[in-house]
Amino acid sequence: EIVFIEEQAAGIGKSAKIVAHLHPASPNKEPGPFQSSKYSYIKLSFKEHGQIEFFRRFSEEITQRRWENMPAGQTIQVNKDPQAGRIRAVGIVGIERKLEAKRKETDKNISEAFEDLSKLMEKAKEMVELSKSIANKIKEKQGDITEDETIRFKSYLLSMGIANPVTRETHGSGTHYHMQLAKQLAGMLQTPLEERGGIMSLTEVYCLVNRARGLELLSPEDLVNACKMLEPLKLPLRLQIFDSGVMVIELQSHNEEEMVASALETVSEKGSLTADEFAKLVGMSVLLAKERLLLAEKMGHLCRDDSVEGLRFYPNLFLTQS
Amino acid sequence: MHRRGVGAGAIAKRKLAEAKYKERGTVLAEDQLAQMSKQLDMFKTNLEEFASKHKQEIRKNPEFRVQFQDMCATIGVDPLASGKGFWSEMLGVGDFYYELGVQIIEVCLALKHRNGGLITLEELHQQVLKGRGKFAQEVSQDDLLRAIKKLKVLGSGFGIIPVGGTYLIQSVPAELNMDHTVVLQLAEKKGYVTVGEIKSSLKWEVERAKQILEHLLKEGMAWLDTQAAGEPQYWLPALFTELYSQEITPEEAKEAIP
Repeated sequence: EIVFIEEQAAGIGKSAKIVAHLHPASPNKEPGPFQSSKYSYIKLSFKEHGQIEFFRRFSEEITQRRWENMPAGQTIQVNKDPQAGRIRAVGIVGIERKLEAKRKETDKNISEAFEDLSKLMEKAKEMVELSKSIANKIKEKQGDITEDETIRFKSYLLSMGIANPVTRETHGSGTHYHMQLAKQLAGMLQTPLEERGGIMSLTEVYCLVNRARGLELLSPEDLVNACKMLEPLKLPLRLQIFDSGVMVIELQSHNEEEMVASALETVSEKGSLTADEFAKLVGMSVLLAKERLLLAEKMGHLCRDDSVEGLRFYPNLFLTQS
Repeated sequence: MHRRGVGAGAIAKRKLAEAKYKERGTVLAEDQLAQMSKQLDMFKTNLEEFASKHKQEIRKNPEFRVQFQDMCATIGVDPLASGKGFWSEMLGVGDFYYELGVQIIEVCLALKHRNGGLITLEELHQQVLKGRGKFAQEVSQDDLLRAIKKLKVLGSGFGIIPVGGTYLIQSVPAELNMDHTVVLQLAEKKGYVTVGEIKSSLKWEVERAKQILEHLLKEGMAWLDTQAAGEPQYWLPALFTELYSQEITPEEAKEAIP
């Protein structure tokens, strides 16, 4: 029971407090958060503000002692009033019922979805079987199927997402879709390529194109298949693959070997460079910077110093100073 | 003199037979292609119906997506092969995964200088979720793995390395063979590994262990701590759990966008 309350002002590093001094606990006190305490007061700490208002109201309540006048049944006591108890339980049961109903609904939706999905997959399986049988016929006939029919077949496979059973590849002469895409890319990538020194990695292109599209994005395979059509369609860009497997798009006018000459100059000026340093200097991605230095090395213009400190390239003095 | 099979008449006859055979061959293929075209239209209708009822389920429920993908794989269909495919167009699965691919590339690029191009699936997941914001669709680790598998074809070195119950995602074209993988798996337990541990666990010669560790150092995937008590420790920054909560800095973000 509270004897009296007082305010404690805030100080440096201390928040404002209200201290409630208590009577010592009676021996038959009801169970609570603490059985006993060595302190005879409780401190309420106000980190931000509100202690003034709180103190005022707190004082009022302690003076009026309104809780001693409240009729039983309105107080929140466990097991006190069966009437009140039941009302409370119904509230919770109502919520639980709603959750249960929602769970059942979701379950029903999912099991219906799975059923429908299984049926759909059965039909998809038939399509796969049919495409296999057509592919077998094509293999038997060996070239008696026209170019046009091949393209048609490939576009059917593309729609279904079935790998070409004949060639086991999903690339090659591609479909009309890929040819169209290739032309679009040629238009779309001209300026970005010029801004980036004429060369971009395929991952850069993938991000650029899809960010620009926003919707109806290209799959990575779509992009690769379209890029494979750039040269056959004589477009002003081409797909190149480095020894490392890194794939790039270059402007037709771009000549990586020529770029190597200027790379050699840059490296010579600085004495030696790592791929990171070169990339920063020239304003290229580290990936492509490394490829250019590797190509320069392959062509004999640079030597490598491969240590745990990193891979560093030097001008190949063996070549130039002979 | 009449020699069998030779002469203008025989040649003409052969030509006619070939032409007939070719014709028949073409007709056969034409028939089957026509049949496939019709069945394709029917399938498209079925898929449209399925989409109208369950498209939301696929959008919102990662477990359902897994089921869907597994079933497709079982029957030999790749719903993510092309954005032009029916699956992508009608169920919208394509855009979901292809966009995820972009986000994965960007996160990996931004963090590459810290971890050498190796990142745990957990950290990648966290960073991708951060980038997507709180109103975006839910993304599971399974979703990330599927998106990454598709990215492999772009040639920039995306790979998935199983380690201790989870995965390390590689995003640089560094050559990592079985030896490297096994050392990474050993290092996963504590975040670092020593030559001595490799010797005792894998029974390798010191030279072999050193070679593998040096390769990881050169690639920036491992850092050397020579001040450790006992022998030098090779740490994998990809496994530094403190980095999980670190934001991608504005400089790193600039590096990531082409």
